[in-house]
Amino acid sequence: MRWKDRFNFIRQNMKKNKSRVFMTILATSIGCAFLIVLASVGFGAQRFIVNDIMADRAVTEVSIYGKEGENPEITEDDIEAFQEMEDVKAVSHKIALQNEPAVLVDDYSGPASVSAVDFSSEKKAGLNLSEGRMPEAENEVLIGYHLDQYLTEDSDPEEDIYNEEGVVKEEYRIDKSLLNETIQLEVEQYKEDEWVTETFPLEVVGIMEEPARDWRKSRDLYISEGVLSNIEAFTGTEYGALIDPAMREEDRESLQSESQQRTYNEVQVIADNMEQVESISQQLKDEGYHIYSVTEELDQINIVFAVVKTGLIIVGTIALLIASIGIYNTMSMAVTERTQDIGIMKAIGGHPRMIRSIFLMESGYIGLMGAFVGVAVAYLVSIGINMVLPFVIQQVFDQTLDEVIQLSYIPPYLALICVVLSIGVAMLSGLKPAKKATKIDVLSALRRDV
Amino acid sequence: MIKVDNLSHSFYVGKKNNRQEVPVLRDINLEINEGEIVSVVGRSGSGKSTLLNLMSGYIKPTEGDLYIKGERVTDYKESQWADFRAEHLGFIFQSFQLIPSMSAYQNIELPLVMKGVAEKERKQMVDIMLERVGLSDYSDHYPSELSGGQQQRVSVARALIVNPPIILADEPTGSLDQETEKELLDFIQKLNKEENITFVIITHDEEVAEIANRTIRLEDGKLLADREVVGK
Repeated sequence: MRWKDRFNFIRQNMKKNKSRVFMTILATSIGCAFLIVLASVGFGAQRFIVNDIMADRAVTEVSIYGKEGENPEITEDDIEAFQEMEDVKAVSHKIALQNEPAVLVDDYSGPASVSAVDFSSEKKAGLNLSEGRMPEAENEVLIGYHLDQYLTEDSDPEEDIYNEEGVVKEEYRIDKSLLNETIQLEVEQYKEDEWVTETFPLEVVGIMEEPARDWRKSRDLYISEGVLSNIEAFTGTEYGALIDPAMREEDRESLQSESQQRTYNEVQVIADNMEQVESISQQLKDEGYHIYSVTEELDQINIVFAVVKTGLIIVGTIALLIASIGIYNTMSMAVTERTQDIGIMKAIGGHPRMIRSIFLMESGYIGLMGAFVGVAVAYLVSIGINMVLPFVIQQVFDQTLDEVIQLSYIPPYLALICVVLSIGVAMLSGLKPAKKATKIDVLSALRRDV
Repeated sequence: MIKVDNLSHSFYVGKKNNRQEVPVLRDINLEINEGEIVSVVGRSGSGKSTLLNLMSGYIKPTEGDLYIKGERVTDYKESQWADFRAEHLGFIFQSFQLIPSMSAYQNIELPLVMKGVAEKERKQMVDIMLERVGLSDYSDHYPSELSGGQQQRVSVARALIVNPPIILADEPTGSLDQETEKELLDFIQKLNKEENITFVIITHDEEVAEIANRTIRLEDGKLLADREVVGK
């Protein structure tokens, strides 16, 4: 029997009892929809958390905090060693200025967190600008996206000039872009029993990209190591460290003594791609470095979620199993109803194998239809949940969500899993009725109305 | 064409430890040749239906052998019988045994569908067959919308559609009035002459026995007489 004919045959058979078939498909589709929606919450939560982790850190990044041994700091030798490693794209290394300098533009001033960076490494490491270009000359600098929002005119200290986000209120802000402006970096130091200040003129040539997270404000100022050296020359301390007049003499001296090599306090090794992060991490660990990479965290999270999702799918499958009882019933009824037809078919040469396949296909078809409808319903429910959820949270917890939370997420393969499960379960429950059909005795079937 | 060799068949009644054998057919020997119309007669309970059921493969003999078209079919499994029936045997039943939810066309088409013949080819064959049995105008009618004679013609058409060399008929005229009975018998004779189809017909009707070349008489499961009809 041709497949097309079998299919037609099944369709005709199903038409004979539309409402029963419809109800069975309905039960199956509810089971499927339940399974998918349940599991989609697991998928949604995982996606939300994984996205959250990856939002502000590149996946290909391995942060290095120090190393074992006498000198835990990362030195230039280490950086060179990292750069020599296989599959390493770039090594981002920054030195934070240990001072609290102010940025001055016209009459405005404000704080900045200043780091000395190697711009060519940063560029390779994937530093992106929202405006301008990378610095070339020694006194050219990059500024954080929000630095201008921290600048303010000298004003009445009584007045509250900061808004709830922690930046200067708009009416007090400087009303021009800092791009291509010359800014003054004012550094303070306690020298010979008095406070002295020195300003360093810097040319802003680029503004960095906005941080991935909305609530994060960047007031970074990236200077070249040349500028850092100039600052150090003025402060007389390494990394521009501030001397506190209350400090003991020996502490002061240790700040002023010169060490052989610069050490870096923010070092990241950037891998060529995500697959290599693990091997690089392992190699660095073996060499005694203290490291962190997102993939390590992701691995653990993914394991936890794999367990959660499997659990949810199993629970959802129970719904499908209940639906399969309905399919079993429907198919048993169909076989009983069609006993005479089957008897006739067998009497004139119908092969038992063909009869079994027809009934198996029929139950499989119910599973397939149920799965299709179920997937469609699940997608609708999922969209509904995601739309209603922020509203519910707002009402119940009285909180607004900055980020869009997707509670329910249906990856295509989840829908596929459900379709396969549904057809499988349906065919399994159709197995016994189909076998019963092949066992129908021709004579007793034919004698029915004799 | 069909060779029945020492064939016996028994039913068993009663529970396991108290089973009783009820013999239905005992040591039947007969041979049916190609192109014959053989009628099997006898009172009810004589075993004639059992003989036909054995030839159809619906039941298995207790003893003896059965050969059809030179093949020993005694030990055939159900699936082998299915293929064999589809290939070599046509069936006509007393109560027609048409599938009620299928139209005349679909009923006739069914053996071809099961055999896997292409749709286009099927349509040609069924249309020709409908015309032969004079039901071209009734192709879309369901069995319940046809008279007994018409239903039997559909059933004959269904048996003929796969060109079987042998047709087994169980009381084919049992549900028909005299006129339609005569029509059917004429048609059987015509098929026998023109297409050399072998017929085995179970009947208790003298008129049917009249068109047969041979009549086999069974009584209490035994072959009582096997004689050629004079003048045929």
